Amino acid sequence: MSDISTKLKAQAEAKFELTVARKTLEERAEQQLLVAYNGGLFRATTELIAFLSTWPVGTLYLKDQYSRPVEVDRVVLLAKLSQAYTAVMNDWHTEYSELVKIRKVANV
Amino acid sequence: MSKGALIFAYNNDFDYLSMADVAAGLVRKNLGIPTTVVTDEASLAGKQLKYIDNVVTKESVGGNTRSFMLPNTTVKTLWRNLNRSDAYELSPYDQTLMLDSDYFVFSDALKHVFTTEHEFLCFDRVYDVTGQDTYTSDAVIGKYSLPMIWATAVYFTKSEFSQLVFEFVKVIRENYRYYSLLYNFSPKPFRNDFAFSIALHTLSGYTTDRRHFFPWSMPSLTTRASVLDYRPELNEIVYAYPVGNKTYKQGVSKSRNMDLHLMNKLDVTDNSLLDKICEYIDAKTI
Repeated sequence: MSDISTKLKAQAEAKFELTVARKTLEERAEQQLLVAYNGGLFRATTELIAFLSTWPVGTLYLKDQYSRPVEVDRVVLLAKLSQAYTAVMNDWHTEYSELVKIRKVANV
Repeated sequence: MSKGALIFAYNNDFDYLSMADVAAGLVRKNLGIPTTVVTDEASLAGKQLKYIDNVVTKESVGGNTRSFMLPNTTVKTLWRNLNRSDAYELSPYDQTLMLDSDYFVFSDALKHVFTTEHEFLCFDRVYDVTGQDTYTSDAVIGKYSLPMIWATAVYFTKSEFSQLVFEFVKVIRENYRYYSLLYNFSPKPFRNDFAFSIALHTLSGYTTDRRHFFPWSMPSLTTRASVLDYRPELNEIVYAYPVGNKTYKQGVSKSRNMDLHLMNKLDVTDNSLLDKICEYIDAKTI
């Protein structure tokens, strides 16, 4: 195999492994962003956090992951979601930063 | 309300009980609940259990023969999986998380289910951590595309609906050939996944009711992959997998703090791997 072929093959294989690793990190974050509150299950998304930050009323009904309306205390749920979001995104960023620095996952 | 995990573990060529013991340790560490294991005298003989809190002894009822395609080899063995439908009666808990012995709870993701109002939850999607979508063909069952669910991890409460699901699974098990003809799938081996899929779909009014599914995909490592290492200090598992159908071409990846269905039984019963996972379990959390 010529030098360029070897390089192309190595690049393709390394890229595949990194794509798998990135996707796995994203899947894990999807799990960890879930927050249970008052019998409902909510995902700590930027949209939900922004909505709760601006909603003017203290108590409201929110659709959870299972499309059920759940009564929530805006401040309490906002605190829980913000905490989960920060922890998960910090972990994700740390591991993602490790990944982009290296060519092969096996080297981490 | 009492909470706990329930694992069925009957040894064959593989030591399922040792797997279940470590799985129980992970459940205790990450979910903070006890584990009951259902097993038989033969599997228990001479075994020192470290993490299992409670043992229910019950002989398995018959079994299947199943082939496990592992890296470089295929293992054909007796698969004693027929009494999973007894879980409802056998569980001592009001809220039960029923797990396969090779489903390793490396995170606290499942703890949320105990605080919701659901009676029955399971996975309907699988995430292949090798990135090759190995399970795409398992999304539906048979010619009529019945949506498939996985009996690998099932949450249920002592409730009328859950009891009906388990009772129906028993009926399907006893009349499996009939249901295989009805839904057009192979009658052998008996698969709990298929029986639970039929039962849940029927009892949901012949519809797919997403309220019975965990809102994320079940991470799985295929039987064709090999575990290279486990790093207790990071709670990280490193694995190699064949890329496409080429067994000589290997990819390497890893997952950290993420639950994983480890399907390569040779690797999961390897003592050096289990010892490293025990090291993680026994480490004090800061």
